[in-house]
Amino acid sequence: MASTYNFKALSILLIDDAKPMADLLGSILKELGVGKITVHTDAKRSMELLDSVATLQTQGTPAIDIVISDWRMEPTSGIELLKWIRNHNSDGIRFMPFIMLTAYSDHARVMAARDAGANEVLAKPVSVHNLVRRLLSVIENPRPFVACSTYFGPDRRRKSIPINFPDRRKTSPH
Amino acid sequence: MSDKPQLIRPRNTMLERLGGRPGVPGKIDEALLKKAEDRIAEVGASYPDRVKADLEKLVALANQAATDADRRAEAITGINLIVHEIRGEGATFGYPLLTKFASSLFKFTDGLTSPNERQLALIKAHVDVMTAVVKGGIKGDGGPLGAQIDQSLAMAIEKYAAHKP
Repeated sequence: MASTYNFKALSILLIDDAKPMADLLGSILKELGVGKITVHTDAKRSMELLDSVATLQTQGTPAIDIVISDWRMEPTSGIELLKWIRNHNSDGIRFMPFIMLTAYSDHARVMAARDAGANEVLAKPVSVHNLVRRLLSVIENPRPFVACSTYFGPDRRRKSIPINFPDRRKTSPH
Repeated sequence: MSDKPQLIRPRNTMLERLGGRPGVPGKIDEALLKKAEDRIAEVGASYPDRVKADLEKLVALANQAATDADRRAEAITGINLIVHEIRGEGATFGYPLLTKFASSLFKFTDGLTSPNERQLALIKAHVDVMTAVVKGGIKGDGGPLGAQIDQSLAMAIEKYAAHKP
C-alpha cells in the first residue's frame, strides 16, 4: 500500500529573482507541508549559504535537500549556479538534487539544462501538479550520477534500454 | 577525472525521512494539494496589482526605444527581460492570454538590436494589448477577441521579422 509523504522533514532552497514567482512557489511548498523553505532572489547568496552548510550536508540530516532555481537571473543565472554546484569540492553539495525552473520550454534549452547536470526541468507556467511531479521524481527515483571527463551529473539516460554490449561504466557507491 | 565513466549512487535519505518506501510510489495528502491549488488562485487574484509596475516599466522602455536612438538597444534588452518573466507568470496566475502576448514580444525582441519604425510600433502594440489584458482582468484565453488580437500580432510579426535589420 502506498504511504503518504510527510514533507515536514524536507528542506528546500528556492531561488528566483522575480518576487511574485518566488513568493508563489514558497507558498505552494508551505501548503504542501515542506518543513523548511529558504527563498533567495540572488544566486550569489545561495552559493554563500551552500558553502556554509557544505560540511553539514554529509553528516546526519542535510541542511538542504533540494535546490529549485530559476534559469534566467541577474547577475548570476540558474545555469551558472547549477555548474557551480556540480563542480563543488564537497560531495554534499555537488550531488545535490537540482530542479531548473524556466520559462524557456524549447528542446534545446531543456537539453542544455540536462547537460549542465539538472535532475529535472520545471517549465513555467507552474502548476501544483507539475511541481509535485518533479519533487516526487527526485525523491522516489534518484538517478545515479555519471562522472567522466566531459560530464558530472545525474545519469542522462532515464530509460533502462537493453544494450547488446557490456556497459563500460564502472559502478561505485558514494 | 578519468576518461572511463563512473556510475555513482549518492547517499539519499530523503525517501526514508519523508515516510516513503523504496520501489513503492507514495502519495501526497489530497487536502494539502487542494490547499496548494487554492493558494495559487489566491495569489493570482492580486497578480494584476503586482504586474502593474512591470507593465509601467514596459511602457517607459517602449517609449525610450522609440525616442532615444542611443539607448534603443538597452531598452529592447530591458523589454526582453521583463516579458520573459511575465510569460512565465501570466498563465501561472490565470492569465494565459498575457503569457501568449508576452511570449510573442519575447520572441520578437530576442536578438533585435536596431529596430525600424514599424518594428517599434509593433513593440508598442504588444505592450498596449498586454496592458489591456491586465486592466480588463481578462482571464483564460480571452475568447474570440483574444484569438483575433493574437492572430493580428502573429501576422504582423511574420511580416516584420523578415525585415529585421
